Amino acid sequence: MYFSLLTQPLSQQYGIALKILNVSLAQPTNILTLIQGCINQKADCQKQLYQQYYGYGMSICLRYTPNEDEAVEVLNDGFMKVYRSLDKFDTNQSFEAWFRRILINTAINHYHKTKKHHHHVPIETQPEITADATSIISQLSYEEIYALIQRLTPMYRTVFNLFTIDGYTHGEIAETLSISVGTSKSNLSRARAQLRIMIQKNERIACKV
Amino acid sequence: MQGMNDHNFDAFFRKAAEQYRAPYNPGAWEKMRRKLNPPQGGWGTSTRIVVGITLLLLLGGSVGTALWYHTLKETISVTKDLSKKQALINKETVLGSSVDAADSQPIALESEAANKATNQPKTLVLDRDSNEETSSDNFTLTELQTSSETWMNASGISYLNRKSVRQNPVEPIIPSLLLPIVADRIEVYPVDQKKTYLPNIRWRIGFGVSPDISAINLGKASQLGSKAAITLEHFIVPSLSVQTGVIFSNKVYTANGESYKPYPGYWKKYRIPNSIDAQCDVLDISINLRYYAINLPRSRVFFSGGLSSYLMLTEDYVYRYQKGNGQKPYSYEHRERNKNQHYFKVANLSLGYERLLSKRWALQVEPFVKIPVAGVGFGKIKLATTGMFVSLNYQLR
Repeated sequence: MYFSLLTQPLSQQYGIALKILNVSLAQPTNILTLIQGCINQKADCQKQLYQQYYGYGMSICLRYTPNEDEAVEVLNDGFMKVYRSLDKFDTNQSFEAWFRRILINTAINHYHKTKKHHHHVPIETQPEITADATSIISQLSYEEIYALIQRLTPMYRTVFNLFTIDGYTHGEIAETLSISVGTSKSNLSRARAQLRIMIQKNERIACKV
Repeated sequence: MQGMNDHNFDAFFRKAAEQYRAPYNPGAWEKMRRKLNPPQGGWGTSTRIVVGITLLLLLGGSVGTALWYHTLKETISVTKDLSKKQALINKETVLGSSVDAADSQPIALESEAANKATNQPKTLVLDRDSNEETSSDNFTLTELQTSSETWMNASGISYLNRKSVRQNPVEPIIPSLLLPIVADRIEVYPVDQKKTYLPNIRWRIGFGVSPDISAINLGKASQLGSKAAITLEHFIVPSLSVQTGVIFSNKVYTANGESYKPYPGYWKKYRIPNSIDAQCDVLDISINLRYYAINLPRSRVFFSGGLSSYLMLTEDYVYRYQKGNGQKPYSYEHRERNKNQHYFKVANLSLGYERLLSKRWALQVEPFVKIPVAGVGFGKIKLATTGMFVSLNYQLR
């Protein structure tokens, strides 16, 4: 476990360290007050909103990007849209749901923008089964789970996130990513397979330690 | 992995994603803060162009004025030398042949000179501008005095000593033979004097044209529009004036859909477009205070600031939608006619250089920026404009 922790990116280790130290953010202030302040372009309100929803936003952006730097980039692009569009936000609706939709759209735009730079890694199709999945997975921390998702190829990662976590259908994914429904299904299947392989490998490394 | 099917596998990741919260990173906010407040203040390319043009104008104006002064000084100097030499040559030639007559008839010469001086200069003065500055007269008198002394010394005329020249008015004792010198000087000066500003000018009208570079929040401009203006300027004091004008502007610009805020709930009713192309005809009624900071005989540099009212005559918008929801790119047109008026909602700032072309006509080059105080037009957008007026101004009495 400790070895696998050390193999995580520095950003993940930083996150784990903060979690161990039990660093927590201040309790959210009234969201409506913050929204109104942001509409009036008050810098302190913008900062408070950012601090309050940073953790939530990053939990989405980290899933769609390969590292923390890109996640912050997507998050900040998303926050820019939020600040500019807050006057159109319907306060009867959930801010989190609205914010989440903006971030997912921003992440998909980011995927399209960086698509030409993506280098596909050949998937290993022959996972070596060494242990029961439930016992392995249950030992993984959130950071480790996120690290696994981040290691997926961009297409697999995006399809996996959209379908598994964010509830998109294959039809919606196909339209959003300009691929066929069959490709979406196939990519989801391969993403799962790749994750299983990575989990198994992690377990084997941990056992050797 | 045999013990976990796809459903459970997905559920595990879903649960992890819902429960995980990344710890706050102050560095991320720092990046966000820079994004919100870019170092250039969001002024973008257009401002750099305006600043560049302004600096070029100031530099060009200064160099031009300096060169003009230098040329003028040289002209005066050469004219002075030539006049002196000519005077000496003429005098020596004439006096050499009739020195006895001059010696024997000093009074006659003086009276003749007096007659000439009282008649000729009067005629010449009439040719000169009635508003000729006193300093120019003083200069002429001093020069005349010096010339006559030189002439007297060179000619060996002893009875007209320096004291007598200084104590008596210069003009009456000028020999008639010096008149060409006087005439030369008078001719040299009025040519340039005609091009200095008329004093006590009160009103001026102007006609100008300019490109119109419009952009949202002083950001990147995409296309050029045009402007034509008629202005009326009233001088409170010679270096301060109030200027009002009517400017017809054709504004062409593109902005993203989010920049438009027609009214609350508008974008809930209609799908927000990816971009909006706009073409608007605007009547801009401006009132500005103008301060002429640098005043040279033939050129001036001024600063101007004030407010504009926008009367939106026509507003043509094309909403552009990119591919989405299985649809091909498409557009939607929206038009407004004489529906929006914004009084004193735009701030004007400019810096200009003025060059006198003749007594009454002056050419101005004036880079400007118009910054919105509030949203204008149907979309309540913060539309900033920059450009450079080139205008002709005519001074009224």
